[in-house]
Amino acid sequence: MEITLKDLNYRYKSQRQQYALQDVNATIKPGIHLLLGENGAGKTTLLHLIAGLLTPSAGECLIDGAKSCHRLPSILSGVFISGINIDFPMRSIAEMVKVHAPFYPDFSRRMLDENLAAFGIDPSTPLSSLSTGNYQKAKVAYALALRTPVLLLDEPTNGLDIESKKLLQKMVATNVSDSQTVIISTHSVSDLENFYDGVIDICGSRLQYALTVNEILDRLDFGKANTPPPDAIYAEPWVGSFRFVSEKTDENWSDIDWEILYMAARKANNKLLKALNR
Amino acid sequence: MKQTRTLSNTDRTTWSRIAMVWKFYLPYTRRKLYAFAAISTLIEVCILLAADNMPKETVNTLVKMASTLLTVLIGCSALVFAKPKGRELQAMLPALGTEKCIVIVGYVTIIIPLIAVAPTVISYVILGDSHPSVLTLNENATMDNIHFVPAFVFSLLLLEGMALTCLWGVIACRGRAAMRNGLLAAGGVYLASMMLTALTSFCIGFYAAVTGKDIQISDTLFQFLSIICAFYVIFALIKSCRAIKRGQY
Repeated sequence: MEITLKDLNYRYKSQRQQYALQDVNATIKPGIHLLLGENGAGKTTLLHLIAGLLTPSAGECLIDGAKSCHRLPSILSGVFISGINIDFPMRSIAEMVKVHAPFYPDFSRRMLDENLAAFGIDPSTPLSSLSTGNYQKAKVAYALALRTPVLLLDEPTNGLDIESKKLLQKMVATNVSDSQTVIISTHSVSDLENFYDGVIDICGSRLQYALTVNEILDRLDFGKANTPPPDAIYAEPWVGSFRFVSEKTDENWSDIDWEILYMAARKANNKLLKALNR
Repeated sequence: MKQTRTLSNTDRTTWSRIAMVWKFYLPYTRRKLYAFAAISTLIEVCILLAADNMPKETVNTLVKMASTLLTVLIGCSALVFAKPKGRELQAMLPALGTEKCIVIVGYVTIIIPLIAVAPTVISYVILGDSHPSVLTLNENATMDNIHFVPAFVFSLLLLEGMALTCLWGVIACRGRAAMRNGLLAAGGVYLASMMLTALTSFCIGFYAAVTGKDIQISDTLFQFLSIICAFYVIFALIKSCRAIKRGQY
């Protein structure tokens, strides 16, 4: 399923003067996308708009050409959002499987059992008795097993220990198919790096860019050097040297340094966007 | 990912999906349904036992207390949906808004009232006109010169109005304030109905005194109030359904 955002605007009733999202235009194709943005940038609002939980103040959010805010079963059965502020109302995951999962035609019980077993969680354990981290793991395991064409994970690594983060990374990599569109919003980029196909960056309620990793690597170079190159878009000191991002000048591809990319979008916004829009 | 097309994700209203939505809400409602059935049965048993062993006045008081208790319970039955957890999941549930409305509104306005009156109806079928509640009703009706049907219609509409307003208050409100909102809404409707009854009685009485006409106050009063209540029930129904369909999270 393809997600299309057309002149998308949203403002909460309680903040009439301030937009939570403003003039967002993007097309998000299947793949795993990283959603970046500072606190309050509008990441969760964007995910809720895609999931149909919010109706845009202006513009459209389309999933395969249908407005998500209309909440049609054909669309909703293909979208699921899991996040820290989205609680499961049932007693246990086993109960969720009984009463909630039947709405999702591609749900895989086998995948759920495997995911929960990997995290060491029994599906019949009451959710209220799980720790914050285990509750988060149970929710992500269930969300992945629903196998919805659009999966939105809002801060999935919140409350997870280092080992669980690695496990989650493996789980996402193995459970997500090529035709699924997965958007992962996270503050800790390093926890899940190396498996993103695209990046969506929101800063101050405006979309900075929504590009695939290949498009970024086509236009930018990331590296480390003792002194930052004169043409660097942004550089910052790092253990006796500098990490930098600059416009791409040669054919060699480097690995994306997510943190530098994030900082460049905030500290050297114009230069970065100019390079990305080349 | 090409999604599997099944009956469960068609965009038409289907009975099978209504059943699925009902099943989804069962963890919310199951215990309350059992509790309602138990409370209404207990009340009925108490009334029947009291009718055999206690003076008539005590039975009358007991019947009135029981009907007040049931009114409160039915009027506030929507509070089961005030649970702050899982609001987003309910909104995202792949079912049509109409199907969710049928289940939620049906629970509040049909299933709960039916469960509440079922024990009384069953014992009435067995005992006939000698049922203590019927005797009390007849006595009150004779004393106040009230006809049963207009009074019953008004009570029923008031009850549905209270229940739907409570539902509207609960659904339209987010978080922990939902419970308070639902209670205030149901209480507000009850209070408003009492004030309206008093005001209308005064107006009808005043009109009868000025014109010198012999007006059957209670019948006119209940007819007038029933019409107002009916309009209000439709309004509350529309508002509740809108809140269910378009809730923003």
